[in-house]
Amino acid sequence: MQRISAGPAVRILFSLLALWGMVWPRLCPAQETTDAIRFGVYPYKSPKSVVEVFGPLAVRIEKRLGKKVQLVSATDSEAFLKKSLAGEYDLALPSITGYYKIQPAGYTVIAKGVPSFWGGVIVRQDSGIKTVEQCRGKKVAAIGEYSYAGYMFFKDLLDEKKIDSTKDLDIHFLGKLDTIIYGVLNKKYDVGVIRLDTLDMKDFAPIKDQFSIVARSAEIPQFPFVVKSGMDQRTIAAIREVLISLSPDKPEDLEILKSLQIKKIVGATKADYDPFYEVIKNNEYYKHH
Amino acid sequence: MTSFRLRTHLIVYCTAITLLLTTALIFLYSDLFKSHAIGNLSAYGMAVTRSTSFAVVDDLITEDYAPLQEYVRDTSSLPSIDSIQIANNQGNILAASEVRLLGTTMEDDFVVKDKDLKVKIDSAHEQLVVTAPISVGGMVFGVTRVSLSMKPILAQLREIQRNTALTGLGFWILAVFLGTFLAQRMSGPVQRFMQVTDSITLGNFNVEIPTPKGVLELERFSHTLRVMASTIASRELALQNSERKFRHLFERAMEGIFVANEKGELLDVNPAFISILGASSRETMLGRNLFASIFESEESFAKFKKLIGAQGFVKNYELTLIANNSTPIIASLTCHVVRGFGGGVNKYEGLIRDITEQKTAEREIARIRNYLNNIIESMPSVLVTLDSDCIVTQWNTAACRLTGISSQEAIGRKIYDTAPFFCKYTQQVDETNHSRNAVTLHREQMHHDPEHLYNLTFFPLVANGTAGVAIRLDDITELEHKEQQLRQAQKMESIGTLAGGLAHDFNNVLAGILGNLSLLQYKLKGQQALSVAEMIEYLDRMENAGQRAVDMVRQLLTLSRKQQADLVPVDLNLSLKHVRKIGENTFDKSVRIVEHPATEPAYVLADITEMEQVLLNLCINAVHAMTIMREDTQWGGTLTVAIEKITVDPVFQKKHPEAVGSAYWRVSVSDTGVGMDTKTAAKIFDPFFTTKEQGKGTGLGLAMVYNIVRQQQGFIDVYSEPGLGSTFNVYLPVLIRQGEALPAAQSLDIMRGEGLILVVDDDELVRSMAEDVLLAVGYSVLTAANGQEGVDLYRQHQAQIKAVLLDMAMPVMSGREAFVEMQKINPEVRVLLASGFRKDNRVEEIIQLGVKDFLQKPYTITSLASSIKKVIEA
Repeated sequence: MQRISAGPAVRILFSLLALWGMVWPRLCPAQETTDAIRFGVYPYKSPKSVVEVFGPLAVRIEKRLGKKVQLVSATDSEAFLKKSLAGEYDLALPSITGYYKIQPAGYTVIAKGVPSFWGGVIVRQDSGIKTVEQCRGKKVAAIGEYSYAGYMFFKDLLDEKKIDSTKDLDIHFLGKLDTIIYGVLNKKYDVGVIRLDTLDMKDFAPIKDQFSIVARSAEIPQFPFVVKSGMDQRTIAAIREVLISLSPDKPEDLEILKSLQIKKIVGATKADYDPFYEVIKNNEYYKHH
Repeated sequence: MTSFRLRTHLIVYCTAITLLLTTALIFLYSDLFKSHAIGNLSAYGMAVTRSTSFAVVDDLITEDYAPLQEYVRDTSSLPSIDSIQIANNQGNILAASEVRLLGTTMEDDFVVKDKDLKVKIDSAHEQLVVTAPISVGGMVFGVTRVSLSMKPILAQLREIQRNTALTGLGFWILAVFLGTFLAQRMSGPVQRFMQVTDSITLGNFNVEIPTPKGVLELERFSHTLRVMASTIASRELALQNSERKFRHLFERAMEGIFVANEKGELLDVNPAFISILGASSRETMLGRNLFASIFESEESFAKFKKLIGAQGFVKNYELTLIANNSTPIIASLTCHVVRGFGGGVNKYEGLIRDITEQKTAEREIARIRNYLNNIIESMPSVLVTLDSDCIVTQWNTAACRLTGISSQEAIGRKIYDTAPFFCKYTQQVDETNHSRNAVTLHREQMHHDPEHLYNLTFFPLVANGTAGVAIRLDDITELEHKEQQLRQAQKMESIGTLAGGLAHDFNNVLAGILGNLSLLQYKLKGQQALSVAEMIEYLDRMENAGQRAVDMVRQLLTLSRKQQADLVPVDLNLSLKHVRKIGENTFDKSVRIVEHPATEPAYVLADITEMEQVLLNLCINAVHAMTIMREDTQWGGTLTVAIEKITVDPVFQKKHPEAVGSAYWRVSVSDTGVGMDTKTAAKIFDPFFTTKEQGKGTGLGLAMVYNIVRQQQGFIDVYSEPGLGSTFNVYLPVLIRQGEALPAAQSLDIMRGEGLILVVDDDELVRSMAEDVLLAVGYSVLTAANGQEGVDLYRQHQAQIKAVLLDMAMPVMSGREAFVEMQKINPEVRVLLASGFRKDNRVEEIIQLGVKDFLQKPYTITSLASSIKKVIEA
């Protein structure tokens, strides 16, 4: 059978149409509802997971404000930073490092989750690895270079021990916590770098005892809830009220808090994150990205 | 309405049905196909939208729209998909297979909520449009719309409709041909059937009914028509017969039957009606006014009209009418109104009955009732009747007189409340009520009137089906007084009867005294030596003679004393001894007296004097039968008196229904005198009946014996044969004295046996009783009514007959003769002789001839079974 292939003109036409399709939405912001509050969430989970975790909170805010709350995320950290810097989000939950990166766009911290958490280096208990030095030559699974709990603090430790992360270790950035945990458990990796409170989650509690922690980071505050500069104070107050009013005593609130892996949300300011900034500002990755 | 031929009907119906079916099939099948095809297409479209939603939701969340157009392009190439669009939740198309739509807003109602999926048919473009939300966790991030082509489905649908219509047309043509054919097949027979039914309608039942073959319905119709014609013919005939029958009844009825129109004018009457009204003919009655003819007055007619108007009928309305011959007739009229559909009177039907005779009879019954009532009220006996609850229903004048209680006070109340002195008879009333047997009490004293004696009889009463008891009180004070006088007279008669003998004895006694006295005088006067011993001997002789005279006088005084009956325990043996002593002195010396007293004291509750009177009377009669009543000169015979105890068994009770106790003393007085026939024996207890010569008997002796025995709850039977003698058996209830054991119940230790027994007895009752007894104890039985018949039977069955029960005295051939004949047939014949006589010389003589044993009548089941067994085994 003779294969019929599209001609060059057709291919060009389709490419142009695709390009037009990509840029068209951005060219037509006026068509979006200007009343809607765009709630951008740092893509630390898959898009569907982001919706499942923050969807109920967005609905709660939507009801409180009487305005549509459009929950969005981004394809990756870079895209999120770009959109944040472009001021596309009215309300955002950036990563901590990301928060400092988007400061030029003028975002203000209004709340944060408590308690804080730690990053940690985990190994299987039967691996024989007790120290960071013993990680040399091992296969390491981490979140990503951009993640303090999921890599940055470990990189700092490696630097301290004069271990070259590019030569002395085989590091893989997997982006997802569950992939790292099960990867170490199933001996695909020797060492995992994760946010430690992940092991307390319901899914991992049964296997938590099979791991030991080789090193842990400094205390890391939860991601900050920030609002875009210029947002009117009543809206900010209403959003903050919704956030801090979440109570673990209410079953419906408890579900939201559990999905955010926090006990509750408290009011916060930039000053609450400054100590941590001191820790990461010298990080190489942070400095270069 | 215009009528069409059957063929036209069939063609039209076939056409209409075929067209309707075809149309229905087209619509039904098209709809089914369409629903099914569109359902499948919708499911396909929904699957595509769901797949799209899942694939692009991440891009929408992350606002990464570049992959959407590529996805759309890939998906639009799937089968049946005309186009696909993806829009954000504001409806802005982010990606579309038709690029011209990019940047535009989704048409129609694009707002789709979470899980809200819309399917719509776009008829203009022959498309099925499925619109679905793109959502996660209840949050909608966009919309996807897929347009699916319906053109193949619609093309297929049109082809189906075309093919179905063509098939329907073919069926229609076939149906028209078939209808025409069927109509031709059916119309011929139907027309023939129509001719037949026309004939039947005209009453011609013998018409030939066509029998078409091949069409089941027509065959059945033919059969049904034949049955129907036959049934109608039968019914017509039955109707005619019924009409004849009822006409016959109408004509022959004893009641006058009439039919009148609404005005009462007679339309039809039967002969009885004409006869009752005394008319000359039916024609003279027809047209006459019924009511004017039969009602004697306007008032009576008005009353009748009112009744029949209210009820619609009258039943047994009595009226007096005057017949044509001017005779007044009492009639009963039953009439009912036959109403028309409107409710008005259509006609009157009814019957009239001449009840003059009935009314006369009713008056006669009322008269008789009054008459009987008068008798009851006038009778000197007290008569009281009670219902089953002892409520007084009759209380006659004598009862009022006796009690001082009026009938108004007594009737309707319990007798025990009304007259408390009846309370002591509660048991008798209840017994009569339950057993339905009469109970009689003699010489009862009433509390309020101790001077008088009454006989009370309680007898069961059945009146109009209601059970109850009647009580009769007879004042017997006077009768009792007279009876005592009569008894005394009879005693005097007995004494008179004995006077001859007494005189002889007294003469002997006096001779003894006077002879010794004269001898003593002679010796004293003759200066003869008289020793003291001699003197003492003479004096002793005189004293003995005197003493004997004293005894005789005392006995006579005892017998003749006048006193009230005094019931005390009496030993019959002692009474027999006293009577024997009297008899020895007074009975003719040609009579030999034999006594068999009981082996134990034979106590009965009786008056001593009365008992001795009974025995003496029976003995005197027996002596007379052997002396003065003999026509020949050979006086004398044997008087046998025996006392023995009899235990009552069913056989005894059958023979003596009056036996109510469990044991009796039997006093048998037998003689070998002249005897009597059955006719005479039936009368001997009647007062003043005698077979003795004038002046030798009063006819009161046996009557008195009977009365005394009955008063002691006993009874008597008599066995007598002319020329042979008589036996009087007196049965008196055994008195159980304190400390004595009750008589043992009838022993059931009955000796059973087997074999054939010949029973020969002229008495039917005895014969059948003996047969029953022997059958009951295991034997087979042949019976013969006299000696000759017995001999004949014995000759025929001698080999099988084990023993013969043979009565001694029988007509045609006596027991003795029969035995002799049987002996000739078989010298070893085993015979048990039975007789009402005691075992005396006559019996002994036959026993000497070879009879095995003797059984005295009446026998019991035990004694018969035992004796027959003994004879067989002898």
